[in-house]
Parts: sequence; C-alpha cells; structure tokens
Amino acid sequence: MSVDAGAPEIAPSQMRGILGAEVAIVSRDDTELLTGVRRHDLVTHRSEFGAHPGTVVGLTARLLDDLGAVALTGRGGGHFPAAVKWRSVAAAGTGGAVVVNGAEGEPGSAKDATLLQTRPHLVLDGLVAAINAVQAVEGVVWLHEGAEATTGSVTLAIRERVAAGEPDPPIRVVLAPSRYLSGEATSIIRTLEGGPTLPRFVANPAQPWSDGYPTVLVNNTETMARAAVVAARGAENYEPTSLLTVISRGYRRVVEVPHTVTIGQVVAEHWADMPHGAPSAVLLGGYGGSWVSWSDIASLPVDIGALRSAGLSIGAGLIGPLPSQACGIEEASRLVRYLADQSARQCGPCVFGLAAVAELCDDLTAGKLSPSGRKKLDQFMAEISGRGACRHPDGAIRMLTSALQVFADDVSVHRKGRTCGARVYGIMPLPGEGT
Amino acid sequence: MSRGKPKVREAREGPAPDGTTHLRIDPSICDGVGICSHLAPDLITLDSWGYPILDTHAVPRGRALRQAEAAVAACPKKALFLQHL
Amino acid sequence: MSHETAGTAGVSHTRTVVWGAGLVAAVTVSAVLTSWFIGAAVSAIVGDRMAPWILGRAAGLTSYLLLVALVFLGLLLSHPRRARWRRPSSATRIRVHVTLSVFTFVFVALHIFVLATDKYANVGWWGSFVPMGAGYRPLAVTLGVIGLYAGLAAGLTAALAGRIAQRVWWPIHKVAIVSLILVWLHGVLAGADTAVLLGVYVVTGIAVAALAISRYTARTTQDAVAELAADRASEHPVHGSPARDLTIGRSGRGSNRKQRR
Repeated sequence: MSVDAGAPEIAPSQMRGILGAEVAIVSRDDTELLTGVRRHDLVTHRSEFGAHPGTVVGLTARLLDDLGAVALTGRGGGHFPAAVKWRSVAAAGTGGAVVVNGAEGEPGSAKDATLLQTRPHLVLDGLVAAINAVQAVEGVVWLHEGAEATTGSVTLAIRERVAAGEPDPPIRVVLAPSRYLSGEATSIIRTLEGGPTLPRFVANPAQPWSDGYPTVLVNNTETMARAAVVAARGAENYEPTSLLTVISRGYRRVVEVPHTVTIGQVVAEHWADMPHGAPSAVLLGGYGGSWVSWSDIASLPVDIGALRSAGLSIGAGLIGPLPSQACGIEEASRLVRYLADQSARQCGPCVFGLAAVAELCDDLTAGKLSPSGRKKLDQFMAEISGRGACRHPDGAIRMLTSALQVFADDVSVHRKGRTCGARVYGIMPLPGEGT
Repeated sequence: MSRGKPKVREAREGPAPDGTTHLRIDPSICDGVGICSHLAPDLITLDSWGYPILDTHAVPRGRALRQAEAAVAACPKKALFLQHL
Repeated sequence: MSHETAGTAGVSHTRTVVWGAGLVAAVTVSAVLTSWFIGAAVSAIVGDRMAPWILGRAAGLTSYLLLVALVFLGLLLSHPRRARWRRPSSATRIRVHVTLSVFTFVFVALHIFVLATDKYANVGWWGSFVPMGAGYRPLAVTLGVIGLYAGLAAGLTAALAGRIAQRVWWPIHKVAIVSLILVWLHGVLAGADTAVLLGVYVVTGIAVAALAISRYTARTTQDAVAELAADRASEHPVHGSPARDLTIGRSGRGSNRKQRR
C-alpha cells in the first residue's frame, strides 16, 4: 500500500523505520492482525536490524546518550523522556527487571499488538538492550490474557531465539487480566511485587517500586522497539517516526509516519470514510486524549513538540476521526461510561466521581440535562481532575472537557431536549462490544 | 480547561527539593472518613462524595502545619502524609 | 447550621428538603421537649419537691434522643452508600455530628447532676459513676453508667484525634454504638414507665438498628477492589525459554522486606 501521494516528504522508499511503508490492518474487536505487514522471523530480523544487542561492542555505554540524543519519549501515552527514566532506574541499583508493556492501555490502539505480531524480535532486542543498559537481570513481556495472536507471536519469537542460541537474559511472558488498567505501570510493578494487578499511588514518580524491592523499568512496546532501532542504527540514523492507529468503522489501520506528516494527511490516506467527506473532529491520543475539530487539527503535524505547543498530545498514537453524521457528545458519553466502568474502584474521586459524571453525560445525550445539571457536571469534572492514584480519571475528564468544547453545538441541541439527528453511533471500538 | 480550582492539584507535577513541606494523600487508601477536613479546615475540603481535596501548596509553619500534622495523625486509614521536599 | 443550596436543583432539591425537614424536626422536637421540661421544672421548683426528679428525667430523655440522632448520623457518615447522598455535604454532616455530640454531652451532664444531687432519687454521686452503686434500680442505673463511659470514650478520643488520641479514636468510635445499646436498655428499664415513652424507645431503637444493619451489610468499595484483585496475572509458560521458575502472585525474589500494602 502506498502512502499519500500528496505528501512527497513521506518518501516510502527512503524511510526504513520499523514497519517501513507497510500498513497493518487490524480487526476492530480484537488485536489480531488481519493483513498487511509480514512478520519478521529471527533470520529476517537479524538481516534488517543487525546483530543481537548483547554482542554489539560499546552499545551499553552509548545507548543512554543516544536515547537522549534522539529525544525518545514513552509511547504509552505519557511521553516521558526514555533516557531520563532509564538513567534513574540505572542509578537506583542493579538486579531488577525490565518490562515490555504490551497490554495496551488504550483499547482503540493496535500499534503495540501489531509490533508484537510482526516485529517481536525488534521489541525483544529493545528489552535485552534495556536490561543491559540498566543492569537488570530479567525481562518480562506483559500482555493481556486474551491477546492470543500476540502471545503466540512473542512465545514463538522467544523459542526462535533460544533455538538459535542468542545470548538473552531470562525473559518471561506474563498475562494480565483483560482490563484497561492492567496496562498501568504501577499495576505491573505491584503484580511483580506479589500484589494485585491494580494501579497504586506512587509518592515519588522516580521510584515506582516499593522500598526494598528490586528496580523495575516499564516501557511501552513501541518505546522498546524504538530503543532497539536506536541501538541497531545509532542516533544519527534514527528516523523520528510515529506509529499511529487510525480507527475506521470496519477495521483499524496501523501506520508508521514521519513527524512532518500532518494528521489531515494521515486521515485522508487511511480513514475508510474519507471518500464520504471529512470528519467533523478527531479523537487524538487515546480514549483519555482530546477531541479536536477537523479544521483545527488537519494541518497539525504528528510531531510531538508541535502538538504540545498546540496543547495536544499524540498520546498512544490513536487517531479516531468522527464521521460528520455522528454525534460527538454521544460518542464522548459512551467513552466516559466505559472509562467509568473500567475504574479500579480504589480511589473515591474515580469510583464515585466518574460514575456521577457518566450519569450526567447519559442525561445530556438523552436531552434531560437541566442547566443546574450542567453546572453540576462542570463542578464534578473540576473536582475529579488530578485526584486519583493513577491518571485514569484525569484522562476521562480531559477527553470529556475537550468534547464539551468541540461539540458545543451538539451540547446545546441536546440541552433543548431534542435528538441531535445523528445517524451513526459507536464509532470507537470498545472491548467486549460487538463480539 | 481553565476550570481547575486552585485546590485541585495536577498529578505528578515534578516536585523539586526546596525545603518545603507538602500535605499529600494516597487516594487509593482513603475511605472518605472525613476527620481530616475537620482537623485541618485551612488545608482540606471535601468533594461532592466526601473525599478530601488537599491544598497542594507548601504548608506554612505554625497553625497550618499543626492542622496538617493533626490530620495526618488522626487519619484512621493512614492515607495522609507529609512530604518534605 | 447553614445549608449550602448553591448549585443544587432538580432531584437534589428534594433531598435537600427532606434532609432539612428532618434536621429541623429533630432540633425542634428536642427544643420543645427541653423548654417544656425546663419550664415545668422551673414552675415546679417553687413548691414541688418532685421538680429535680422531673428535670433529671427530662434531661435523660433529651440526652437519649440526642444520642439516637448522633449515632444515626454517625452511621450515615460511614455508610458505604454515603457518596450517593450529596446533600447536605459531607462537611455539613460531620459538623452536625460534632455539634450533636456536644449537645448530648451537656444534657447527659445535666441528667447526672440533677439526679445525683436529688436525695429523693436515691442515686447519689456514687451511684452515678460506680456500677451497682445506686439505691434506685441499680441494674438499670449501672447500664447507664457503663453507657456513659462508653460514650465518653468514643467522644473524647474523637475530640482528641490527631493529638493525644492519634488514630486510636477510630476503632473506639466503631464500638460507640455499644453506648447507645446500653443507654437504650437504661432508658427502657428506668425511664419508660408510660406506653408513650416505651413507644419512643421501641421506634427509635428499630430505626437505628435498621440503619446499622444496612450500613454493615452494604457492599463497600473495598469489596469491589477485592473482587478485582482476585483476578490475578499469570505466568505464561514458554517452552524451551530460559525463564526462571517465578510465580506471579507471590513475591519470590528481592528483599524480604514487608510490602507497603
């Protein structure tokens, strides 16, 4: 599949990246790759990305600097600088674990599953390079228990490496309960320490593990793959690309694009509904991301810095265009309900606050929200932000806040007790729905 | 986006060591007992569901610090703590 | 006590009205009873030797009603479903709870003072504070005496919470309902000599018991978290991999220092 002809800078023949010019088609309801990107077995991987990171002389010494030089950030959504995180773990002590987080926090995103199903060795190389860089002793691949295709690809890859005698440290695959918050870094660390798979409060973000426990470095799958690319090709040859998931109604596409490409170009090229007209808005980053009107977002590049100066984040790489016949308020309410249901039930403002907000959103879509109800909604949203142990409630409130602004017209229609005339519903895929 | 009250803190804002003391909470332990707001009314209000909203500013010495210490000591869930930066 | 009505409307208006009406009714009842009893006592003092007895019993009944309100509100304050009742606000509920405790204390003090100093009551200071020390219905008075100590323990530790009592107040507070049970028996055995009074004790007793049952049987957020926590991560075996034998769900490595929670 070719990339947008109207964007010569994409130049697929010159961009090697991770997926290159290939586009993955992933089903809407689970993370099984349908078609598009061939899986790299170990032999193909070694010919594309070079030798095992454990055998590259001087890699450990230069990798941390290289990660800083390319300004690699965490691709799970937080975009925390990887080099800073790795250094603080390395400084805290040796003998810990490094975790590849493949239990995608964002149900809409399919990039991590795509990577683990097509570039498992790249991810594992990144894991091994990280283990060496922070002087950890073991690797963990953290997956959702229902993600069978992904689990199969990872276990096959580990077996390939064992059979080929690659000098890997111990790597184990751990399956997490299929919940939204299983992908939260603190859920992972808490589990490795023998606790439940639920997020926890961390007083010092630089040390998310408990006192007296081994260090744990958790990185998103794409971050780990990118670290492997930096390790293999060096900072000077690293191409700053992003993996994006574009949501259409029938399927999702995972694409790799350079940072110069605009979101408008990505949508025009990869969104199935584009022939029927541009979307009214785009949900950017994830279900805890932001809605942005099409006119505001179409010309923005995918670049993290450019988006940040517009007050936005590419988050986990989700691009969710909303067809113009759909109602943004109904879509946002649906997502708020889902996020409220996915609360780990630990923090009062999240358990009770998100539930109360979801209820008011239901009233809003049903045209039953009174002016005082709207005031209450605003008050609750202000009360919830920043008050959970993890950032789950913040994300839900951020998404809803942006929806109430971007879809202000829809809000006023609904407020008058009428239906908004939307003809399509349920644009963003939710786990367990439609199966 | 400008709705945040001054008393609602932004999560994980990078704390820099500056010798100040901050009142903090592990919200996953808090059960909304509410005695903290009674003991430290200058620093803690309760939200619509009875859970404490903390003043995130540095706690000044004197009356406010005494209130904060009492709230921390009284919390039956040990959810509140003072962080010295 | 001010009712914060700003920002409420619709459904919550009904709740505000119900809550307001309940509080106003409670305060009114106690005020009417008090003023009537005091009025009766004052007029009686002029010539009636029964006056201290009447005043003492009036203060006792008022104390009981205040204690019922106090415990009732305490149960509401800790009820697992409390987050769904948003009016009056939690802060107001706590303030009312604290205020009620002060009123209760004052009327109990009046009750004891009057009956301890009334020779005809045959209770005396000794009988007021020492179990089985009263000449008048010693068992009934003793229940009240122990109830007094239980209530004082609950109230004083809470008043000193965060200072002398640190967080010890909380476990003691949870058994404060024992005080009400003892005081209820004290009232039924020593202060319910008319059908109306007995009816008051029965109705209020049932109401508090019903709320207590509801509070202790309701599903808590901790129950919900425990259910989620039971759903554990599991190790996925990779045949031929060098993965070590580590079991998720137990800490098999690192230091043996106690985990935070």
